[in-house]
Amino acid sequence: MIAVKNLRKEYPNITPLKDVTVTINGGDVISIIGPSGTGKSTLIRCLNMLEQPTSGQIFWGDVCITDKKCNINKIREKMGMVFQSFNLFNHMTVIENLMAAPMELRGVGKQEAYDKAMELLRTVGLADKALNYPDELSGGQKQRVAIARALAMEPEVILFDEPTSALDPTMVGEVEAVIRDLARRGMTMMIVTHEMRFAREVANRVFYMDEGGIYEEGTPEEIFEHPQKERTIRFIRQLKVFEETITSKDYDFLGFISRMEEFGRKSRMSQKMIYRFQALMEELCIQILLPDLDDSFQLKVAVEYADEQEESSMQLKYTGREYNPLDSSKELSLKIARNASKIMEYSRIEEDLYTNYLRVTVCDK
Amino acid sequence: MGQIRKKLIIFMVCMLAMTIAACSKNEQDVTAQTESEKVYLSDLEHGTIGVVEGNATSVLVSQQLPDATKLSFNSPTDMSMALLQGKIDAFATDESYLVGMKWEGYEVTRVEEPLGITEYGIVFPKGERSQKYRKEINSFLIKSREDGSLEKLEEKWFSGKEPTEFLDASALQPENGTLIVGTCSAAKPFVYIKNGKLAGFDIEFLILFAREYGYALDFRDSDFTGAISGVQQKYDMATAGFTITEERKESVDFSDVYTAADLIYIVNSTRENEGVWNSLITGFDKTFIRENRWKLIAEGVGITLLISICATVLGTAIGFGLYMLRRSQIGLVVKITGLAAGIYSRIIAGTPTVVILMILFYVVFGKVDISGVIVAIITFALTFGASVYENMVVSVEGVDKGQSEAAYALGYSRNRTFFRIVLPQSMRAFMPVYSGEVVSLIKGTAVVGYIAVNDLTKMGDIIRSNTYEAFFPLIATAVIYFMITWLMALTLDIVRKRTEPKRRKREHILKGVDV
Repeated sequence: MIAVKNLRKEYPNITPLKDVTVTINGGDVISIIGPSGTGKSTLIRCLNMLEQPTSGQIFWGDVCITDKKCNINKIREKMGMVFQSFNLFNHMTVIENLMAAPMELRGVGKQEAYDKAMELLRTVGLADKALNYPDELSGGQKQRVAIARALAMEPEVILFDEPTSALDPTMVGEVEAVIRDLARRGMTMMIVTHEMRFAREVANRVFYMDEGGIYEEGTPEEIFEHPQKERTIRFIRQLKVFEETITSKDYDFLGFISRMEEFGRKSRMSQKMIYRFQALMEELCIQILLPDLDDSFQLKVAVEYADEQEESSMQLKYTGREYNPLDSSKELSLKIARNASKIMEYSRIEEDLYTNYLRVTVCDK
Repeated sequence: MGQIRKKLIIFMVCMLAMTIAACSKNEQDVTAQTESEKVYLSDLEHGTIGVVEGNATSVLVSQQLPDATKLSFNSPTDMSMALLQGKIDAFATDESYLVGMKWEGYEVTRVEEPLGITEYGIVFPKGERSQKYRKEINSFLIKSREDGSLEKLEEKWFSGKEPTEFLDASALQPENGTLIVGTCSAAKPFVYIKNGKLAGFDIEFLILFAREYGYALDFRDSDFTGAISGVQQKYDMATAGFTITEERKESVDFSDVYTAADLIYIVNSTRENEGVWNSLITGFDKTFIRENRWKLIAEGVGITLLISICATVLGTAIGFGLYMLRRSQIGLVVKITGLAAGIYSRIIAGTPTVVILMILFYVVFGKVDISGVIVAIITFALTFGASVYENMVVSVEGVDKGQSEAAYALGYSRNRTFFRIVLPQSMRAFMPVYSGEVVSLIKGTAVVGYIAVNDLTKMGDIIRSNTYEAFFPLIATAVIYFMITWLMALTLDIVRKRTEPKRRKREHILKGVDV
């Protein structure tokens, strides 16, 4: 139905979409998730050309809508959009918001437009608000009207750009119910959302977006239960990450240790765990690894921590020859490290830039 | 012998009659002004003297009265009001001015010693253009001086009483063409407005001339500078009691002297004050009733309204048109209009309207015979257009971007989005500013007097210069402006409320639908 090929969108100082290629099939309900600023909204806004792509192509069936000669207005009639900030026409009543586009763009008669609009309002439960103005409605009501307005044009796809992000928590449910109902009736939809539970239950496909593209794609189960890639895992498990790369033996380790402490306090890690991570960094990195590494090296230290979990992990990845720090002859350092950690595992990964990988699990007890 | 005796007797009788006549005249003078009431220069040694700055009399005053305080004014009219209000002790001007004030019944008199003498001539453009008329005027001067008609005219206009009969220029036949004559009606008794028509010494002198030489006369009434620059560019001649000076001769030609007068100080000789009530009544009478002067005010209101309304309509069109060009999708057009509109509104915003007005009238349209009203409309349309454009830009930007995005997402074209979604919503921000701009436009038109357009303010000035009365003309002008602007703002407010989408009746929204 929609095919995206090598889509790229650049802004003067940021490139949210580097290279996106994806196909959307009729009947798909796609949840788009990911950290903010990773181009989720940009992607669906490119699909109906509200954002002009820098390069790449988008096909609607056989029609290339990125082509300059394409009459995008005709395509947009078949592609509804629901915005985070509702964007109801403030100078029109609810019923006019629903009637205007069918009457003006598709030449539907007033009576027919009215009947259809009332029917839609009934399905979203707002028939009694037909003659109200948007500013007389609550956020949830506005968004339901906005969905009905999109439906009034009888679109083949609806794009939802964070439809519940601007809503009071108490109103999220009513809007989600409407979208869920649409999904049941087989409407093709793409939904950018931060509501993980909703993203999971409504969709048949989930896009996790990061690093300028669709970083990982799969069924809700694949993405939410068994994420494969590092950033997806961190996002799904809501991990907080402290990450630094060390490239010189003259690195400011005192600063590094104190930044770790700050991260720990900010993510509300227990004091005990912070001490343990600090001890591990001191012994493993400074005492054991650094003196023995090659002169030009890269050492990546990452601490991952999830709220209210007893276990956290630290990963040390470094370049160079195969070297297992657990085999080190520095007994004292190794002993301190063993005491601070629960599990320490070394492995060798040949195909990665960082060929050495040490995973350390730390416990709160 | 008998014949000689007869002649002698006749001669004697004549002499006697003349002596009696002379005596009786003397007696009259004595009763009119006793020796003790005469004012001399020595009385003004430490007084406050009004002068028009930049005028030759100003220098003379400094020489004659070095210890007196000098106050500068814009015009003799202003000085006469200051004199009547007691702000100054005397002001320097030419004798003719005394005549005008006396006509209005003011008790003013002159200082015995004159400041000097001044001579008046008719102004012609330099070069060949009007040499023919100048020669004709000069020979008419010689002729009328010989046959006494000039003297009669001087007597009619410069004696203490205002004439009651006037010559009519409209009766002239253009056998040899029509002369366009610049003038200024604030120069009593040379030129002024009487019963809504131009009258005065200069006017009648030219009528006599035109009668003799078979011309019709087309008078263009403006201010002094306007009359002179008009002559330099398009008029055939100008007259309004113009003093012949060396400086003026550098830029225009003069006819021979047609009359001369003393330069004098005018002092107030009112012995007792009229009651406040009486002076209010005479003031009101002079301003509105006498000579149907209210008609002048009505005419001025008409001109002010004409300029305001035309400039509003035209300016709105200009502002809107510019904005539409800026919105056009043709890249080059957008760039050029963006740049042009930027420069245009910058220039308009940074230049006083009155200066633009004069540049358009005296420079751009200097050589074209175009009505000042049209120039005024153009000027105010331009300035108003610039502010409408700016207002459009700001109001449209004020509409949330989401509104147009939602329309685009539904499939609305750019234009339809603008006219159906964005423009109606921008009106809410646009209208109050617009209404304020219309009001300032109306008030701003008060400067059109600079280019000889007789609007409300100018008519008030004319009445002031005729009556030497400040209170009623100024208050009336202010009240009328207030009424016009208030009515205008009220009308626009009603329009705004009527067009407010939320005020529509619910039945109207669903008109034609079977609910």
